[in-house]
Amino acid sequence: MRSMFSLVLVLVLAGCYGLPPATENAVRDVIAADAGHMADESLPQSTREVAQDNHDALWQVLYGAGTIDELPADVRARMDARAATIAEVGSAE
Amino acid sequence: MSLRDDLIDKAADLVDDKADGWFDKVLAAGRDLAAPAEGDVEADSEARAAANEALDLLEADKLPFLRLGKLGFAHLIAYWEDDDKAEAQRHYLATQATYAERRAATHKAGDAAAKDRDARIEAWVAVHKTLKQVGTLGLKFLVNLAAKSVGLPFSI
Repeated sequence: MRSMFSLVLVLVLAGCYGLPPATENAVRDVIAADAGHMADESLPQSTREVAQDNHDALWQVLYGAGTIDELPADVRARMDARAATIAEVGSAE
Repeated sequence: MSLRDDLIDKAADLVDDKADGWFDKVLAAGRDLAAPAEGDVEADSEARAAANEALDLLEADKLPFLRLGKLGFAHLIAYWEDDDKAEAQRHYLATQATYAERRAATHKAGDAAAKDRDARIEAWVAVHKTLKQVGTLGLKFLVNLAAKSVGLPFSI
């Protein structure tokens, strides 16, 4: 009985911290809009880079919230590249 | 309902503009694409290939659709492929939309998320208030019970 109660409590708490469907949809819409910005060659490079950072960050939000099991390969590759750059700069200092 | 009818219905649902003549072209193209898909799986994959080819042509501006007709058709194809209206919208945002449209979608999504957050906060505040009331009553009850059990002559 106690374990049942604990299980229900954990599920309720997990539900509280998960992304509700409306929010997840909104995040996915922004990700799609950012993907469009990233590929839009009429935009300045700086704008496209901002869109790319935003795009990757929002994928990480979905990943962090447990909505997706793994990050898309291109996002993961850019994250690794960023981490490598940060590590390189850190070791140079 | 046949796939063709379904497709036409979906097209009618998805179109966001009714500029002169383009809707008829979308329907005609949709009928052409849907017709071979009725029946077997092989025909369905052929139809999908045709849909992709049509989309490529549209992207390359080789067909004389109006811009909004083109967008409607892109919606139609994406919806047909994914059977998901939200996914079709995202496909459009990622591949076809103008900067202004994407920006508007971003703002709209931000507003929706903020509204959702406010609703959750309100719901949590209501639950918290109830818990607090229950907690206050429970505390009173416990204090009174303890006082009674040790024989103290007071209650709160």
